[in-house]
Amino acid sequence: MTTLTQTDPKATVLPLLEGSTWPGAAEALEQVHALPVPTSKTERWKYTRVGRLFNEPYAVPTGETDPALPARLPIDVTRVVFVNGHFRADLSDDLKSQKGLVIDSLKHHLSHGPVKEHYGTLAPTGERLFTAMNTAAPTDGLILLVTKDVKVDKPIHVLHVTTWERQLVQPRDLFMLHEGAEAEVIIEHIAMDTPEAFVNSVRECVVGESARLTIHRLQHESNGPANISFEGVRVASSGHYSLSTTTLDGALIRNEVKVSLSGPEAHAELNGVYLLNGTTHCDNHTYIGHDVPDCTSDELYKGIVAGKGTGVFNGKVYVKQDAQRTRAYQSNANILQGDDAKVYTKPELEIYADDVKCSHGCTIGRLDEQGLFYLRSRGVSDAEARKLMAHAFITEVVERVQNEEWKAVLTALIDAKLARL
Amino acid sequence: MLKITNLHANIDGKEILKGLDLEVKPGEVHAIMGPNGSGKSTLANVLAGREEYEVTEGSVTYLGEDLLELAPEERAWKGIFLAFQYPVEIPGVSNLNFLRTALNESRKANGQDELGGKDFLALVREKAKLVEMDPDLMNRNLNVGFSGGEKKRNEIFQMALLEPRLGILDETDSGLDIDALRIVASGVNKLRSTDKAFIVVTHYQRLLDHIVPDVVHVMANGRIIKSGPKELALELEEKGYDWVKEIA
Ligand SMILES: Nc1ncnc2c1ncn2[C@@H]1O[C@H](COP(=O)(O)OP(=O)(O)OP(=O)(O)O)[C@@H](O)[C@H]1O
Ligand SMILES: [Mg+2]
Repeated sequence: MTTLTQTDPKATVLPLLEGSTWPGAAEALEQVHALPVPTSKTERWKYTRVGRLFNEPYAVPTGETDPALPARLPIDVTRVVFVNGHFRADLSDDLKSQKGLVIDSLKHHLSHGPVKEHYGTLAPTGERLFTAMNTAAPTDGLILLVTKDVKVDKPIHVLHVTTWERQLVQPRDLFMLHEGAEAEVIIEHIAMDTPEAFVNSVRECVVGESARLTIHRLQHESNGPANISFEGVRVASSGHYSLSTTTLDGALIRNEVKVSLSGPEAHAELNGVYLLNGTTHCDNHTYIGHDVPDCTSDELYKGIVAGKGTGVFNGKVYVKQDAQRTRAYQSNANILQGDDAKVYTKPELEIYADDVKCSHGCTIGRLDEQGLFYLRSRGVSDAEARKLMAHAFITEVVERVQNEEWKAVLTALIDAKLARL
Repeated sequence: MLKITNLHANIDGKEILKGLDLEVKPGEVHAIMGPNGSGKSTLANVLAGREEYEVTEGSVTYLGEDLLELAPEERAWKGIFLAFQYPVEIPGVSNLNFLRTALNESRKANGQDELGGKDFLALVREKAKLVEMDPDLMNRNLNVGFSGGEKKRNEIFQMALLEPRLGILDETDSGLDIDALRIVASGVNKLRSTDKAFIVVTHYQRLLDHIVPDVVHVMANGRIIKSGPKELALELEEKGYDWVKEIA
């Protein structure tokens, strides 16, 4: 070993990344060696400290344990289970019940045409250490391939379970929707026992012409060092991509999504709710590229940050010179509770076209005291009044969820969390 | 029922109430009149427990208890109700949902069973009829987009539903049309009983034609400077406040 590698803080993870046969793994490993661990001087990581993730070594994850799975969602879904990042057919539902559709372990499809064509194209490794780490040695992940005009008949529930070991789990998904296809996916991460897993995910989504992809992410791990994810998305003309991220618990969470609207009349909708307390740190980084004319995007993130929680929002909308008639809306609103909670928010618009309608805004405030007093003066207790007002603040985002059944599940989870804030 | 002695209160370090005395007995209706800025709403808010106001001196006893020690919701549970001069709009909170929470928390605090959905709705219908309130307003967000008059009517509707022992109406008549004024007044009159009392803050005699007070007080510069029978209101309307200020 050279002195260089000995002092490299990444030495704790490097041994785990060697020898993978996934496409582009060798090149990605070189990138990992070359890229530094982000510090507060790295613009994209200014408010999120990741240095300590490299303090101690991790184990290679194993999918062979049999954790007790949580009860099924009270809605009709196709459940796909991953344990420590490994696909578990035995714990998953029948994934072959519908024609024109592939739902499977991505590892089994690496040599297939569509995978070869798209894998790695939306998750560049050149400047993102964690994306490079993932690409160097993915654990496994989900392939979702929906062929022309096929509408997936029920939501797919991807359940990621991690067990107690200190391990590096690197889920790697590839979603491909052909022309006119439709799919809805619920992605949930949970941890059993005292979780010590560092989950570093990458997902690539290729949304074809007039296709619709709806993703709901639910993050309520109770602990664990970190859940870092990068999602790269390309939407073709008249395609529709919608992502809603609900963060209720966790230690260090980083959700980065980069969307390219690459065909006219493509649409992206990004919604987020984060309810943070304890020492939970949640960082939402979004990028929407309006690359061609006549696309629309709409982004709404709202959070309540209490205790010693930290909320970070960085949203960039980039409108290329010839992307005329772009409409892009972005908003981030925060409620701070207590004196130790922190929020950093930075909306960014970069517009090079002249005929556009764009707006962005961010707010950081407290629950309206006058409203609280009004409710209390009618006999609503202080705690209940705060809950009502907090619920009212968040509800605008939840209302955007179109699947009524999922909305009901989400509302119950959110209300339960609000009661604990 | 309510005894206020030498009450002093500040907001942002500025003294607004400057030694106010007032006693209200069960069954009575007290009218408080007085020029703009004299401290009428401040008094109402202090009684309801608004924390921004700091009481620096004096005492308030309500049903034998130190009122100032109680949180706003505890005061509500013990029967105090303030109809706000400017009811706030709360987007995202439904009128009915909030009222059901308010009513049931109050019932719980008073050792009563909570009302189920059906019983609650029946009660809502009955009270809405009493104040002739448009049922559509019930399902809307709390006061959001309500007209000035609708907000005031919603205050009286809530009062009718919560049945307070001591109702404080802060200019509930301002902004009401003649019909609404009559409805609000009859709402109050129907609640009147030997064990309930009202403090009615108003600028206008016409409300007092409908809700006939037992006592009329004139407030100026943070104190009550004159009290008298209902005829005092008429005299004020005729002569203005300068006259009382001079003799006080
Ligand atoms: N937050 C505040 N900071 C400073 N002064 C305040 C504040 N709130 C109220 N005041 C002042 O307190 C005084 C009394 O106000 P209050 O609302 O009690 O008057 P009022 O008698 O109800 O008047 P009106 O008849 O116009 O309703 C006014 O001079 C007002 O400007
Ligand atoms: Mg007033």
